[in-house]
Amino acid sequence: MAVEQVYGTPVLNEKKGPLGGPRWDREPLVLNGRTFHQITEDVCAPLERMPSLPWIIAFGFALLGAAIFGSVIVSGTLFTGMGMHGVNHPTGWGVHIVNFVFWIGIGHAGTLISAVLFLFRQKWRTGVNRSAEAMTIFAVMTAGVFPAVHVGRAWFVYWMLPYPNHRYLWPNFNSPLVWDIFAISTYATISIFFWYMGLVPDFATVRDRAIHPLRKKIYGLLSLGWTGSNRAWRHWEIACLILSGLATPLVLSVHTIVSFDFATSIVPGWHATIFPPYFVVGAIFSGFGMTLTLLIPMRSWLKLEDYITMNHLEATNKILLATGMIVGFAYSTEFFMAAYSGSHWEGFIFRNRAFGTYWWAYWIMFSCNAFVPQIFWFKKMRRSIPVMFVVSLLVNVGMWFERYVIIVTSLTQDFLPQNWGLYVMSPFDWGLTIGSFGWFFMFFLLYCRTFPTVAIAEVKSVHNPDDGAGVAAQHPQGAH
Amino acid sequence: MSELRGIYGVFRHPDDLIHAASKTTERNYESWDCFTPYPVHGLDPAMGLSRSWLPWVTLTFAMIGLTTAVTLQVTIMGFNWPMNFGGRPFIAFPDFVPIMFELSVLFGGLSTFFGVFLSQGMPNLKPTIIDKRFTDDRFGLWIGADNEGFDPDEVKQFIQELGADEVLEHREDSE
Repeated sequence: MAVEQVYGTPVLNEKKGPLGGPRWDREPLVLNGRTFHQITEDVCAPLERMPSLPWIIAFGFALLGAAIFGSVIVSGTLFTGMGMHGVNHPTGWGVHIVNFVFWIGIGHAGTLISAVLFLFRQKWRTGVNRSAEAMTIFAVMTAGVFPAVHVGRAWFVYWMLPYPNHRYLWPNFNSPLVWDIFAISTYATISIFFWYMGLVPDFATVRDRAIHPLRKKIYGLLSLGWTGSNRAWRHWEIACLILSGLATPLVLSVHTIVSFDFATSIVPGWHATIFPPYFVVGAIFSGFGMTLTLLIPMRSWLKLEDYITMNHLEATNKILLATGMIVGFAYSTEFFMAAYSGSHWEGFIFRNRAFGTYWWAYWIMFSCNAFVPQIFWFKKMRRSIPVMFVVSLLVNVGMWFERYVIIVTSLTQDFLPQNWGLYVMSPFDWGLTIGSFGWFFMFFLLYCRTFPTVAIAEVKSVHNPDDGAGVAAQHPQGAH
Repeated sequence: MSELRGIYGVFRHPDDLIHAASKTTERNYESWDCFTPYPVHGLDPAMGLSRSWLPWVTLTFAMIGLTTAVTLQVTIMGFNWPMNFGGRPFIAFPDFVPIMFELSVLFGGLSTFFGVFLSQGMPNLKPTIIDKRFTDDRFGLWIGADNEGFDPDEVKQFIQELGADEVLEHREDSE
């Protein structure tokens, strides 16, 4: 039973029904009738063998990117100053905030998969939630660097926190930028603990397989002494449910508050009530794009095709299609609001966005986000690896440009023509942007080698215990 | 000198363990447990365990978080150093809502995480791993030797009759 034969539709099984009649079966979440033991073996195998050549090459590139990222930050920004970057009057928010919003947005898909799909009882999430949640954490880590750099004096970044100090200064709690600090740090903390919650039983599995004493020691520490006792599982399950319930409104609040950074200002193009839902949907859209970009190579390099199946990817593509259309709808709504408001400045900004200096950025954004995902109306395209990989890359590009368009077009041409200017990214800005991808991929690649990339315990819990081993014998050729 | 700490049965199928657990519950042991590689549904009622009390911990700490956020913002903005931002009231309550929400979630979430593990005696650097297969593909029923009136042969026979594949002793060196 090859994976290619599977076509994502229910399969008719004659004489399998409860009364001996036909029964339609969904495709199983784990293919090829793996037993519980095989699930453990398959997921732990990449941790226990030497890295493959593609991984080493990818890691080399990621390290290079991370090195660029670090050297730009250290040599450029910390030692020289913000003058190294393109931000200047009138564009005070440049590539830093573009990248900050972009990376925070990437994180949203992970929480959506692990929390929202958990509440909706979508069992397919078990195959991909671990990696998606890892992506969230690394994306938030990347995002967090940018505001710290952007304040100019990163060593005073703790001034943003409310702590008693001799200057009698407090942050202004009326400001959405202060809300942002609370939102992002809460989001990062809860994501890490939610992720770790699921990892503890899997670390115990890795520990119990370990042969080398050092490996046993490390994974023993990480597993906190988990034994699989049902008295602990009882609380663990409820805790997962509670954390999902907390993370769901949390993830919506994070990008809502990020959008408040813009929407509470009076800058034309930013001052819009549509911003919170528009940002949240855009975040989910871009996050699912990045999920695909990461999972497609990962499942093939780590040989996890039986766990992250074509059905998982197809479901992700459906979400991309839906959210892509909502994003496109939001772009159009902005134009309608600009026209309908009768505001001269608002109308000018939107005409200027689509046909002004930065028209190319606008149309890259619009076509990548609203038009390209339309290809997923066709099932063949939704199940084609090359197509979805290219689309996922274009979605990443499109969503980066969305933030670029919002920030740059509104700031370069606001109310007074003598206040206008252009924004040009300096080589340092490019280094920071490209380097941030290296920094992000570096963490993800390290994660692939050291963590169980599929939630072993959760996959087992949605796996029918009678399904293992015997399945291949019971349903010989193409039974599902 | 190794000492008998308990006797355990190894099962292949979760349903067998659920059956065994419900039979063991009837015997009113003090020290016994089930070990599974994943959360098996139906095992809690079979073991006579009620619903987890964890949501109350979350609620309590979420309320503490909420109170912290209100106190922090009202005290700072209203009393400690009132400042005029564009003529808004000093205590502009709607502006405080985002941080009220965030701190409730932060406190609630962290207490949930720590509640699970601390209540189960974790982190435990030297856990008793009875059988390494219990985190892989086997399901275990454990009856401790510290139960009142523990008779190894009788317990072995009891677990055998419940349909265990293997019935094994767990021994540890006495210190």
